[in-house]
Amino acid sequence: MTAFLTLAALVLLLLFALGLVRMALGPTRADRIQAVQLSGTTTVGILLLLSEALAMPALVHVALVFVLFAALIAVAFVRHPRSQE
Amino acid sequence: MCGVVDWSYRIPWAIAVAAALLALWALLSGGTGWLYGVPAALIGAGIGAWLAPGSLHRPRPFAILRFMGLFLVNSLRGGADVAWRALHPAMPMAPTWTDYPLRLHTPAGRALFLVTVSLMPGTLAADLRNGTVRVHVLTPEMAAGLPQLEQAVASIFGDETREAGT
Amino acid sequence: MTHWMAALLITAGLVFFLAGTVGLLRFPDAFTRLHALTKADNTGLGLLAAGVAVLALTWQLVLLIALTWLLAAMASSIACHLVARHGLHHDNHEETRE
Repeated sequence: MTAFLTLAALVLLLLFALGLVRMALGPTRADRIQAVQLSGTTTVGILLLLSEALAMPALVHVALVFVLFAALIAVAFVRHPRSQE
Repeated sequence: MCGVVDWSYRIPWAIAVAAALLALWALLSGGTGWLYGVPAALIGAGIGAWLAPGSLHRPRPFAILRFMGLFLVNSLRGGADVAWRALHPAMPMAPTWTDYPLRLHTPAGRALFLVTVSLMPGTLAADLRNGTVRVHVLTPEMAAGLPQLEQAVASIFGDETREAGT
Repeated sequence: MTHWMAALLITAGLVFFLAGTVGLLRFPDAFTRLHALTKADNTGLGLLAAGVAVLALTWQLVLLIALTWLLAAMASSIACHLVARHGLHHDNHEETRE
């Protein structure tokens, strides 16, 4: 099971890396911020998988913190003065 | 600051906030460290009473359960729908904008509706102006599911009685 | 038995994550991409969290994982709404790169 969970975490990492292509391409800021959102969701997924694979329940708490960050990123993006020009 | 503070609706808010925070603390800490948890919950209760936006809604367990069921089923359907479109070689979709006149009046109901619309199949709420929601849909017929969601939200907040007037 | 169920749920979750990323790369404009990202990733994370919760040993952990997914769903749909509104008001013209 540990091997499967690790593999699943690697797949998520790969999908996150693919999402970075959209960040590079844009073309609008709304497109770029979506790649950041994707990174947040996949990070939470990876942390949940690793909490089980490494038998470290504390990683679920880390995942919770990342969820809160992910919410703040979008708010910060919308409120950022340079994104409203 | 000035005049008499009306406590009648602030007390329920304080109790509700404190109960929620204590439950959260019990979950996060595994039932330890109440020396920190209890004061934090009390401070939260104080802030809850201070910021209380009007009287607390009477809880409606059945309406909430119905809404949660609708939300779970539809968010699963929404994910499956958009996943199918993304993986399909031809990407079948006809994205367009549509305006949805909102019948909900309470701010909480409107907020819940706006947030959940984006997880429903093929719909995405972009803006709310003068009681009309600007909705982006993947195909025009996707907007047909919105009244059902609105009805479920309305029954949580007791909003349905005003429906006939608008 | 639980192992197979967990593996099934996690694999299904990964398929939705894959669809979300594919949609983010393939869909024609920012708003359709938002559909793909928000809905597919939310469903994917839900299934993945359910799979991990099946393997969890304590109820406390199951509830924590459920809380994580609930907050993630709320966060992603609020973010989706904010980004869509921003896109509606500010990104009508293509951004000039700084």
